[in-house]
Amino acid sequence: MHNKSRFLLRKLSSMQDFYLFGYKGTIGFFRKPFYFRDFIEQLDYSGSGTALIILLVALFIGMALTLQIAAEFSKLGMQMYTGRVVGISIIGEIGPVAAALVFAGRTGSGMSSELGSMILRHQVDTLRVFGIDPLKKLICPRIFSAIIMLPLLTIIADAVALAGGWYIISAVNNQSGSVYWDSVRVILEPRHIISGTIKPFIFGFIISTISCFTGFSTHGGAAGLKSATTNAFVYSTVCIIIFDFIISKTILFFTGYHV
Amino acid sequence: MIEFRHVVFNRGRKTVLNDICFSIAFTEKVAILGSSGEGKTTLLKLIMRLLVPDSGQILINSTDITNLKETELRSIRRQFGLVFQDGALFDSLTVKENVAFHFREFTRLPEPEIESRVRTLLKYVGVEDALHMMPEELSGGMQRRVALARTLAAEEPQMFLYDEPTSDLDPINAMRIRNLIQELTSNHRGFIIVTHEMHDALKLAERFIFLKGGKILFDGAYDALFRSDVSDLKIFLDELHGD
Repeated sequence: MHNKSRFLLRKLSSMQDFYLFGYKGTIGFFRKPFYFRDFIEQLDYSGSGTALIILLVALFIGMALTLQIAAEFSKLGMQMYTGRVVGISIIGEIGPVAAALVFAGRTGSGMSSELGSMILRHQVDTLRVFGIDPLKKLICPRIFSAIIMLPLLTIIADAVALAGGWYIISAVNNQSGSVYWDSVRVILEPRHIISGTIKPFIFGFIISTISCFTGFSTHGGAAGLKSATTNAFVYSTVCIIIFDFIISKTILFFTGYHV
Repeated sequence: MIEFRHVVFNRGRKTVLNDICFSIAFTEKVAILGSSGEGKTTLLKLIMRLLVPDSGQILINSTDITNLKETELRSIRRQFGLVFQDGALFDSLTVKENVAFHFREFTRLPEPEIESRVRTLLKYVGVEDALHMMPEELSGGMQRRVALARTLAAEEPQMFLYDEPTSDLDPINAMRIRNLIQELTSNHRGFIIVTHEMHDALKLAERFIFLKGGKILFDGAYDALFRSDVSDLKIFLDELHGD
């Protein structure tokens, strides 16, 4: 019991540290000094480094999803509705979640391992010795670059996934591409757009904050670094899935769908 | 003046430093000796308030730094030049960018002036050819010399803190580092060197502090060091006879 309560206390304390970390990492961006160059570097790292992987993943998800849905709908003679289901699925759910998961795997893990390595090699201590706030110099640019870049990547991922669906419909299933696009356009309501737009911002914040926190909490050499990087991805993934549900439910509630 | 008053520092359940008391003047040349894991580096980090003690007070020029905010610590930290064991160079920056780091962050010097100062500093530590190299391309000794140049660029410290400055270095590089440390003690600047290399300690320092089990077992000058009856310290001194 004693060990359990000690474990619980440690976890609670760690959560408190995490919230404080997220808070300071967010408000620090709006206070001087501004590390604009670091921000641009992080935009480049999270954007250009992840874009190609996300595009590839989105393309094949779009194609696979369309294949499955078209196959089922053709049995029921509802091929013309394929675009509707594909559109809602990709823009409201799969696009943001898939982009976020890839982003967590590539950029989030990268952030965590880089910061962890800096901690272990006393580079963060050196910044503090120089009188530089590591949170402002290292964390704020990473959090805000993720908040900006993930929504952009998600928009591109959605477009590519839908284009993948169009390719399957027109080239593989020999159906009308214009019917597919009309079907996508007709079904999209503001709630789908809102859902697909809000999620990447929140996911970007979650991934970057968790990844930076785990990186900054690294201790114990190479094993600690491995653990920090793994935790960054695992915690980010779990949080993305949970928050995806919460955001979807909240948006449905506020747009009058009490399901 | 650095003053430790009954400082206790725990890492998890292990007590790393237990009721440590001493005072060191900025002009002193002190070697902190002890085996690995005895809290030598921790002690340096406490001086810079990179770590917070669990109890006790640490005073720098009569200012208790244990509860100061990060912003208030800057004026304290600028009195010291800390060189970590591995140099702690920023590995995403070149040697030039590492040494220029302070100039770029805190001054508005024009780029040619920054480059000139960086070259002067690198020449002083003997690695001017490494200007455009990345840290991973440097040997351990070169990394430490660049780190020293970066420290010198940062401020005019009153005292240097060296964490194992010659560990894992070949004798020539170790000698270069020792010579630099000696040169930098001019102008009545002292240093604290943390090491388990007795050669370094005896060649450089005038006062010796020996840590074991979180306690100071010995604190004294050269003569007293060899008269000491502390058994663990004798093992350290035997290393000299072995050579």
